[in-house]
Amino acid sequence: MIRVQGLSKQVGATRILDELSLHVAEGGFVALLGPSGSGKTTLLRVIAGLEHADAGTLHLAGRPARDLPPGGRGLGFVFQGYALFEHMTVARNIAFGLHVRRPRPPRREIADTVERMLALVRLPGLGDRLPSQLSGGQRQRVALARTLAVEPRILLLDEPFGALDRQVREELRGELRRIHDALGTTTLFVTHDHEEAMALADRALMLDRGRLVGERAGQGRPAGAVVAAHAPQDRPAWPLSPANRILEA
Amino acid sequence: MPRSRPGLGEAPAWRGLLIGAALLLAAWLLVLPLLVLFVEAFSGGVAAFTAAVTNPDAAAAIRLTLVVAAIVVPANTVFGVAAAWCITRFRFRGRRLLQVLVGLPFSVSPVVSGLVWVLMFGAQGWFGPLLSDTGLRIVFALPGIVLATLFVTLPFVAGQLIPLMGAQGVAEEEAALVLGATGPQMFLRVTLPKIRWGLLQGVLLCSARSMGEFGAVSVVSGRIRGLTNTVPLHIEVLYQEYDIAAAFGVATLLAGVALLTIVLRAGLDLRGEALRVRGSQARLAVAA
Repeated sequence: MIRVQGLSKQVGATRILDELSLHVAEGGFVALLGPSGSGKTTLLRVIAGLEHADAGTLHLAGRPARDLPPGGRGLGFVFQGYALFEHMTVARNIAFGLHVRRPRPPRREIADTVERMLALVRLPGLGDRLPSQLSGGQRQRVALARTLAVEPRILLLDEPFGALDRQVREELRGELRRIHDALGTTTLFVTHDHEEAMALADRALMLDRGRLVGERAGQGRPAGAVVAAHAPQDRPAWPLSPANRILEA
Repeated sequence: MPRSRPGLGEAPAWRGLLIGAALLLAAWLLVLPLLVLFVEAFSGGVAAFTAAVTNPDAAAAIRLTLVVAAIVVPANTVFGVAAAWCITRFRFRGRRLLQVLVGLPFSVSPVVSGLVWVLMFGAQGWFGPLLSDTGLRIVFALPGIVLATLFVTLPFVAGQLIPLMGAQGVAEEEAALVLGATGPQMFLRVTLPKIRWGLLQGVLLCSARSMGEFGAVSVVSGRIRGLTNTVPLHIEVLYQEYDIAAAFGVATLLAGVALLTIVLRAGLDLRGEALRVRGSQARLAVAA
């Protein structure tokens, strides 16, 4: 679903992405781990089209995506600081992606989608609030609902729970996994929290200095899926899977 | 509550003295002149005041001033938004230079701001011969007055927006783009509402100055009565001719513009403050 090959990006003398290659299969839930400055966020932003790489190719759903505008890539992006439109109500925020669509969907359809999204992120009845009247966890739910309202096939999240306290974070992790499994999206999220990555994702990729340096299976599994026969600890630490080894070569 | 440093908020006598001094100075420097202005304007009675303001030359000056403002304010609003956008959104070679240049008119004497146009477009100027061939007049005509006013009022809108847009960041704009918004949709639906109060402040300041500019305009206008005299120049002419009551009468118009600007700006400040307070109260209520 997301195929990145030989992605490089340099700013000044710093190599932010260094011939990075990776593949996320359809329906996958993958965490990007790594120290700060390892290129996690930049990778996410290049996939979303918010930044351009100097070299390399990017395929989304099998189609080359390098030259597509951010809005034409069929993906959703959840920002670290939520990036809600502060002057719009929650409902207007969620409806934004539909309001700017041409031709614009009928009013009734937009209102239905907003209601569905509010129910999905468990914030029914809060459509008339302003973002400034919400708590951090609620704001993050609105950001998620706004992103999902345009039905993206790919969901990118940049440290989505970084600014939240522990209890809210754990609650939202569960929600994110539930929504991912329910909608069948392909999800790639950035975190610096190992525990979060292992608990939530079915695969965690480790980045360092702009390169993929390892990966590990996580404990997150779609409901009903067979759990891995042996625990991740039995494997060598952070080996690359054959698929990604081929990409690296 | 830890005790603050001595002399800061602790001694009521000192505080009273400082506040008193500040108020006295403000009254003497700001309120008293305004009072004098209005008293003098009506010293010859209401009829004299009305005559001064409705005199054909005064009417022509008012018209010219309004025409100049109607051209300059929209132009500098568009320029200010565009400049602030470039400076805060892109990293490019010459960005710092552009930022310095935008503020340049503030540090240049108005006389110089007017003189450069004469040196460029006057009869003896660089482009003078070229212009005399086409018959187009710039200096001592409306285009020169507009150019000088454009230059002097250039920093107001950009100066309000650059710090504001720099602090706001681009995350909301990026979110709009990923959600499928086009460039114009992003600007109209996200950026403009975010900057509207700062933009209005800049437009107000720009309007006030474009109607009140004296120095630069006096150099390029040629002061042809009823033709190239703006309101400030007309006041100067009346004053030079010892028509004090008429000079003050017309001056009340500019004072009125200034007062209106202050009231509107205060209103905007209050509104901005109210929005901030409402936001933080709501957050507190949620946290509690």
